[in-house]
Amino acid sequence: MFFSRTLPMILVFVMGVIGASLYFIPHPSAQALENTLSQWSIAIGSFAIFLAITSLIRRYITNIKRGKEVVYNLVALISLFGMALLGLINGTGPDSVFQKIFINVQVPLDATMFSLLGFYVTSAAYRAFRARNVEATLLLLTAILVILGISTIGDSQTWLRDLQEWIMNVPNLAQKRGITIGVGLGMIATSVKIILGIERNWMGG
Amino acid sequence: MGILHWLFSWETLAAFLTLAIFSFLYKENPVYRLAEYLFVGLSAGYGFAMTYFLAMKPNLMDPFIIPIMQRLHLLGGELLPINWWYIIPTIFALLYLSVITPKYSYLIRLPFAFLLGLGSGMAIPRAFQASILEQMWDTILHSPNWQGYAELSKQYEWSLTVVFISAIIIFVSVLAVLAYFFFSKEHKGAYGKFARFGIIVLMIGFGASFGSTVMARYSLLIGRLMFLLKWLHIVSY
Amino acid sequence: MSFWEKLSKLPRFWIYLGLLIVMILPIVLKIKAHPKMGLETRLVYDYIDHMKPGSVLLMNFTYGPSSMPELHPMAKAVMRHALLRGVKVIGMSLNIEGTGLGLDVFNSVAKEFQEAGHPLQYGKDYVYLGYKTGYAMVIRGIGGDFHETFPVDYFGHSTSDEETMPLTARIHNYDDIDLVIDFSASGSGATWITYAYQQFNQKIAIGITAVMGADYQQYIRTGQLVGLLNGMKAAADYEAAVAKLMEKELHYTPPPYATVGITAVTWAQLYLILMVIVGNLAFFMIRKQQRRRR
Repeated sequence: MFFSRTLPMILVFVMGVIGASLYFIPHPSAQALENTLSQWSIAIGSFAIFLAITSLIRRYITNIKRGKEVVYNLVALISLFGMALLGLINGTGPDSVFQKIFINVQVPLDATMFSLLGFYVTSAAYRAFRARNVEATLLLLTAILVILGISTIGDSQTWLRDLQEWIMNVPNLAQKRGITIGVGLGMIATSVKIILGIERNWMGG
Repeated sequence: MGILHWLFSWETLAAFLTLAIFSFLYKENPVYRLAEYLFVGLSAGYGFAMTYFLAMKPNLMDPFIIPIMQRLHLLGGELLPINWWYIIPTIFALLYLSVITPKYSYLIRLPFAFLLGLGSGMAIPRAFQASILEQMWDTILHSPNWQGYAELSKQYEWSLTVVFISAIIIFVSVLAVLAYFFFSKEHKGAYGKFARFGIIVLMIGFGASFGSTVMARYSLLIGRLMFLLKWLHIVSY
Repeated sequence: MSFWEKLSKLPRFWIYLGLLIVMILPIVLKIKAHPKMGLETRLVYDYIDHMKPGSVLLMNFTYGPSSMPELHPMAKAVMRHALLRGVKVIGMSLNIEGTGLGLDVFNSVAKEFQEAGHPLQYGKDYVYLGYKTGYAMVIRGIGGDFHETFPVDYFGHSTSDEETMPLTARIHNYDDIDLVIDFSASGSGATWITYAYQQFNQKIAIGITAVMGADYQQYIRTGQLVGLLNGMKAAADYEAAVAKLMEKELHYTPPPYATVGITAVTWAQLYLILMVIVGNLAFFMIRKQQRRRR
C-alpha cells in the first residue's frame, strides 16, 4: 500500500511543489537544481519506451497464442524485433539499411495512411457541409474565403489575401485566444489537482 | 536490366506499400491489414533503436550505468567517469522494467510520479505566463504607448486605423468567447446576447481552421501522388 | 428520384476520381506557381535574412511522415536560406520519426551545397543532434546546460569536442542560439514558447502543418513568436524565394517540390469549393421540392 499509493502521491506532491516554486527563485543554485531535475527527467523518460514496447509485444503474443490474426501479429512482431535489432547491430547512419527501410517502408506507409484524409475531406464537404443556419453559413463563408486567400489565387488577387490575413489575425486570433486562455486555466487546474492528489487517474486502477 | 533494376528497387517497394494503403479506399482487405501491422511493428522497432542510441545511452547509461559495469569488469572499452548523482534517475528509470513482472508492476508509478509531478509543477507558472498573462496583456492593451501600435502597423502593413479597429474587435471578441464558455451565469438577456456574439466569433474561427486544414489534407495527398508519378518516371521531382 | 436527389447521392467513386484528376493534371503539366509571400512567412524570411554570419539557428523536427509534404520542403528551404547567409545550423528532434526526417533534410541540403560547389563542413557549419525524450524537459534542459542535454550528436561524436565539433562546443545554453525554428505537426510550438521564450527570452519561429496554422497568430502579436510558416503555401513561398537567392549567389537551382505541389493543392481546393457549392445547391433544391410537394 505504501509503495503502491502513498509513496507515489508524496513524490508527485514534492516534485510538483519543487517544480512550481523554482521558477520564482532567480538564485543560480535554484536554477541549477531546476536544470538538474530536467536532465534527470530526460534520463528517466528514455526508459519509458520499455513500457510501450512491452505492452505491444505482450498484445501480439497473446493474439498469436489465441490464434487470432496470427499472420498479421507475426508480421508486426517480426518487423518490431527486426527493425530494432537492425538499428542496434548495424547502426543508424544516413546510408544504413535501417534508414533506407525507414525512408522507403515506414515513411510511405505512414504518409499514405494520412493522405487518405484528402479523399474523405472532399467527400465530407460534398455530403455534410451545409449552410443550414446562420452559424453554419458563417463557418462556410469564412472557410471559403480562407481557402481562396491562402491559395495561389491570393497571390494575384491581393484583396483576397489581405482579407484572409485579416480574418486570421483578428477574428480568428480572438477565437483562438479565448480558447487558449480557457485551456491555460484548465491546464493549471489539472496540474494543481495532480499535485494535490485529487486527480489520480495516472496511477491506473 | 533497367526494368528489373526498377522493379526490385526501394522505390518500387515504397510504391507497392503506398498502393497497398490506398487500396483501403475501395474496402478493407488483407494487403492493407498486412501493411498496417507492418507499419506498427516497424515504428516500434525504429522508436526503440532511436531512443536507445540517442537518449537512453548518452543521457543515462553513459553517465552512470556503463561506467559502473566497466568497473565491475562486465564491460570493456575506454573507462568513463562516474557521475554519482545519476544514481537517482537510474533507480527511477530501472523501475520502468517492473512492468515485466505483474506482481511488482505498481512500482512503475514512482517514475511516473517523478515526471508527472515535476512536469505539472513546472507547467503552472509558465503556462500562466504564456497562455494567460501575455494573451490578456495584448488583448487589453497591446502597448502602453503609441509606439507599440505604430510598430504593429508596420509589421502587419496595415494602416493605423485598421490596427486600432482590429484591436477593439479582438478585445470584444475575446471577451465574448470567454463569456460563451462561462456557464456559471445563465445565458439570458444582454449577457445571453453577448454570449451569442461569442458563438459567431467561434464559428469564424472554426471556419478559418477548416479553411487552413483543407490545404494540409490535400498537401499530404499531393505528396503521395508526386511520389507515385516520380516512380513511374512521369515527372522528375 | 429527381435529378437533384440523384446528384446529392453521387457515389464516392466519382468524387474521388474527380479529385485525382484535378490533382494529377497540374503535376503532369508541370504548372509551377510563382508564389507571393504571405504576411507571417515574410516575418520569418526577413528575420533569417538579417541574421549575422556565424550566428546559430536551431532547427527542431517534431513531425512524422504524415505531414512531410508540407514541412519537409519548408525545412529544406529554411536551412538553405540560413546557410546562404552564413548562419550555422543545428538540428534536433523531439519526435522519434522526426529524427530520420531531420537527418534526411540535413543530408540532402548538405549534398546540394556540395553540388553547388560550396561544400559544407560537418561540425563547423552544421551539426545534427537527433532525438531526445522528454519534450518540455529537453527544451528547459537546453537552457540550463546544452552539453548535458545533448552529450553526443546523432553519430555519437561528443558535442563538446572543440576540434571536431567547434560549432556545438561553443554553445552552452540559449544565450548562444540566435533563433529556434520548430517544424511541427503537434503542439510543440506552444511548448517552445512556454519553456524557452518565457523563461529564457529565446527568439522562436515555427513552421507548422496547416491543420494548426490558424492557432498561432496570437503568439506573433504578443512577440512570443517572430513569425510563422503555415503549411505548403508557406513552404512554396519560401522555397521559391530561396531558389532565386541560390540561383543568384551560387548559380545552382535546388530541386522544386512545394512550388510544384502548391498548384495542385490550389486546384484541389477549388474542386472542394465546387463540391461544397454543388452539395448545397442539391440540398436546397431538394428542400424546395419537398416543401412544394407538401
